[in-house]
Amino acid sequence: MNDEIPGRAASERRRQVAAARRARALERSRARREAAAVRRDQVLERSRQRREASRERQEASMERARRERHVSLLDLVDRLLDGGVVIHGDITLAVADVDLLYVGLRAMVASVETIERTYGVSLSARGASLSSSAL
Amino acid sequence: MFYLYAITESPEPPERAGLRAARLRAIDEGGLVAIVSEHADLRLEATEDDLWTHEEIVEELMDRGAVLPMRLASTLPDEEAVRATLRERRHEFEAALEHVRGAVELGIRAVIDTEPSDRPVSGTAGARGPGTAYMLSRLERERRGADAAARIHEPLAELARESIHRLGSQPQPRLNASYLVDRDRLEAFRVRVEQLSDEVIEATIVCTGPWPPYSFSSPESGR
Repeated sequence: MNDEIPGRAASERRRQVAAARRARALERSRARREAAAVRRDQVLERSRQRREASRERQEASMERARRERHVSLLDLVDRLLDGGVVIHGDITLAVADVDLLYVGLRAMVASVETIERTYGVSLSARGASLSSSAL
Repeated sequence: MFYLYAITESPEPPERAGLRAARLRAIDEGGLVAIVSEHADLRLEATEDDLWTHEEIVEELMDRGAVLPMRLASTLPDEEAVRATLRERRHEFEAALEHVRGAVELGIRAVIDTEPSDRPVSGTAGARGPGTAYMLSRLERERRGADAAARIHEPLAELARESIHRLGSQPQPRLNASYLVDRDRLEAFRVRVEQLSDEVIEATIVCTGPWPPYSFSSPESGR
């Protein structure tokens, strides 16, 4: 029986092997497509996350820059009026071309923040005036 | 009238104009140099432009070497008065220049959020009345503010050559501090500030600078 039609059995085996190979190839190609799709999704997701993070960073950095610009000015005013080397002699400072304030800047400006808060004026803005009614 | 920007050791004035576009001059009195501009009549205004002009000139000098910034609006009547000041206070200025040499000033402002409602003071309010409860909660708030301020200030002070700090409590607990930091520790200081921003979650910390050493230039300034 076995050797009745030797060519046919061999041919059948080759056919089966070829079919299995084709199936494996199909399976591999399907897996590759799926993996590629997963990778694509991951890349898209990562890029979305990066965009999101970058947007958040940008917003945070804009907020920080805004806050730091404001604080820098406040720090500058504090340092220039309360720090540095003091020499004898009259110190004259005109605020907004309205008031002339004579020395004792140190006593006057104990804290710029206090003045800003108490009198509601901004020493830092151009044209700021201390001649508000509160004074 | 001479307007003074800074005292330094570099005999060359910065190549830029001073206030009101006046020419900058360097008055050299035996190695101590005052950077000045001469004005027939100077009405200094506390505008942003004037403040930044003063600041930018001092910053240029700071890049060249040790510098003592003058307080805003420091004027002397004539060149001889400038020279006399440099002569008479030579020891003080020389010591101050040594003290700040190689260092810059960094500013820290921290606002501390201590929500009073998040931890009632151990249920004593009802027993002792609303006045006591208010005082206790206020004390607790100040205690927590001071605690957060110390957790920010102390590690930064360790990185600094010298520091000054003030605590405020109104309208919120706050820390306002200046640190004299060696230039080569600047990066370490900034990194530490970033870490503290994460560690002390109840505080919003802003670091500014590097500034010229306004708070460390004389025995009187900033202390």
